[in-house]
Amino acid sequence: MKKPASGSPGTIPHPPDTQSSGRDLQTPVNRSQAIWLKGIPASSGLYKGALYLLERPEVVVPVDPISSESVEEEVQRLREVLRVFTARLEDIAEKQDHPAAQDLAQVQLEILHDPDLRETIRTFVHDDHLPGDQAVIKAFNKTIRALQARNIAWATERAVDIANLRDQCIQLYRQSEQPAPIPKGSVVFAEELSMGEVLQYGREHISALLLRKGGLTSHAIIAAQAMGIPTVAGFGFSGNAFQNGQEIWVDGSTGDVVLNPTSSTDQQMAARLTQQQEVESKNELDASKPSQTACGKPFILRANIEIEAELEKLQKSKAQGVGLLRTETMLMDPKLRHPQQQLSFYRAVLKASAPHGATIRLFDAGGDKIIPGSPTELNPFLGWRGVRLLLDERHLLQNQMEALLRLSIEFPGQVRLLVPMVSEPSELRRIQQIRLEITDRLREEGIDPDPTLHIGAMIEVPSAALLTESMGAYVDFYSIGTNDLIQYTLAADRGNAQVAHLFDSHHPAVWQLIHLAVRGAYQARKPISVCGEMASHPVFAAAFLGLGIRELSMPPTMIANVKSLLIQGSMDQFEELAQGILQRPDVEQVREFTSQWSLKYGFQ
Amino acid sequence: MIQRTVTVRNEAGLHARPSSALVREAAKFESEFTIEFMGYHVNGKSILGIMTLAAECGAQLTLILDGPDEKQAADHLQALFENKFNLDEP
Repeated sequence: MKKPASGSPGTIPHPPDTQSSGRDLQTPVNRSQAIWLKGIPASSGLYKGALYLLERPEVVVPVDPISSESVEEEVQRLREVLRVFTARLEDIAEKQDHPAAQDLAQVQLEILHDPDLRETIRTFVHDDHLPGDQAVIKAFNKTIRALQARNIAWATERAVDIANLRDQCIQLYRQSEQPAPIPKGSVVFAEELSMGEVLQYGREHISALLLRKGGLTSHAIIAAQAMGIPTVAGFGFSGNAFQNGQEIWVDGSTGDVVLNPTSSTDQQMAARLTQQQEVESKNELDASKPSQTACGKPFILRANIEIEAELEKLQKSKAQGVGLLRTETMLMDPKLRHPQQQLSFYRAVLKASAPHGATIRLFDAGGDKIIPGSPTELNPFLGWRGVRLLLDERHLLQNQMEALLRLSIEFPGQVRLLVPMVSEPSELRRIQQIRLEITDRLREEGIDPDPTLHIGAMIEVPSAALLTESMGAYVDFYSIGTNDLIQYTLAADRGNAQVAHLFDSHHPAVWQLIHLAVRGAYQARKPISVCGEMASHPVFAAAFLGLGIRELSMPPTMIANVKSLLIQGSMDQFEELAQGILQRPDVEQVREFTSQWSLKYGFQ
Repeated sequence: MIQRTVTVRNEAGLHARPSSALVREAAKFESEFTIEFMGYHVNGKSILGIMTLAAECGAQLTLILDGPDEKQAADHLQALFENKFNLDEP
């Protein structure tokens, strides 16, 4: 395969095929030449199609008054949102068998029909020209504050329910925006997209994707990977040089993007396609081999999953079930907060994971992400998130826990529950307490949840790594979340360009903490796994095995790569790697040692 | 206009379920319906309004009805308070 010649950033491309990595390709495009551009590979696959520039007016979050002409339209839109919401609640109310649940649904319906509430919302839009979502927030908050001020247990609880109704209303309102019409088969070029948008348009319309922003963990990219949409991210070129309808190649495996492809570009891409198919079939072959090291030590590779569309990949990668199911995406879709709706999602995941089961992480979200209007935190990563938020927002926790306990009967021994952002053993004690309360309540209904359902703690805060052994009193297993562990240990935010270079998985402190957690787990006689990003790096995966970890979880597309190293090597080699890393005093020496180790044994 | 003084007899006070029952019944009448409690006036057809009163067991409320069917409405709603909104509560 011919390698494209490289050009200097942002310059006029040279014939025949040139490459540019500049940020501001503003020059007029010469029609007869192919132009090679580069972004970050985000979702593999090759595709050629017509470009569609998805430009959107900036979303304005602060309260900007709407124009007088659009007032009536806004009132109409809100009326429609409330109508849809009422119908949905009526539907849910009908399905409730339990009288208490029926009553609760009835109360919610009465609230939606409340004449004062509706009039307040209407007035905010009509007289104060507030956009619909702001009107809803303000109207509901008035009541919520009044109830909270009463200082009576039931009033405070109701305030929580009403806040929940408010949030669902806002979600529906925001979803009611009309999507832009994207022609079928387009290569969409956008600033960034939400996961909802990717799912909504689907592969039929978004056949390939170019994102100016979007970190590799962004939800749009996870969705694109799940749906097999070739994607290149971090594609920072200005849109001025591009035109709607222009032909363009996207190679999501290499990050190559080719404008104005010539027949020679097409041939080159066809060759790549063949090569990628060969790699895929080799990966499939590796996937079907047993999961054990060359010396016969078994290990377990599981998949990190977030949305239902990814389950297909679970089968293909031969993952032994799901090692991390992220559930917070459901919070973005208010109808999924209800136990019945959650149940069907979890059931699909557990069916696909049988007989290995799934580790389901409780909602792991920060305050502002799930509770619109909650105060902005100065330091959200050190703030109200994970188990901290769950213990305060009991309705969320209870709904989710109830759904999982109900499911444990259908899938005995296959439901594992993971608690995020634990920093203190007592948080786990409280989670266990709530599990007991819900179990008792379900038993009264004649439902007997699986008593062997396992609860585990995420080890992602240094304090948790230090206290792993004492947490053993409340949990059945542990799972190390490496991204957060690195960021909290090194006090470096990967998203902050000034300090991103400090975020380094080769840092000895990170390895010492992981080692400590593994020893703690060993003392507590409870298994420990890694579900963070480091597990999908084959050499780190080998080091984890060398430290005594037997189970790793990673994006399904990474499994083949990791497995191919792990089945080639022996435990002696992996232990040599782990011990060597633990003995190195600084980042550079760890980095050097790991690459020497790979070279020594011929692992790439 | 008619005024009636009623007492909340439900043990847990005028919480969500009784409030829900009250607005459902109140909606059957044409008359305007206001509830007065400790100087607060709320729309008796608004569940959120009633809930924010947070009236506890034993609280005395004044029902104010104004309209063509005020007499029937007052009788009916007063009886509802007497019967604890027909809820069998723990």
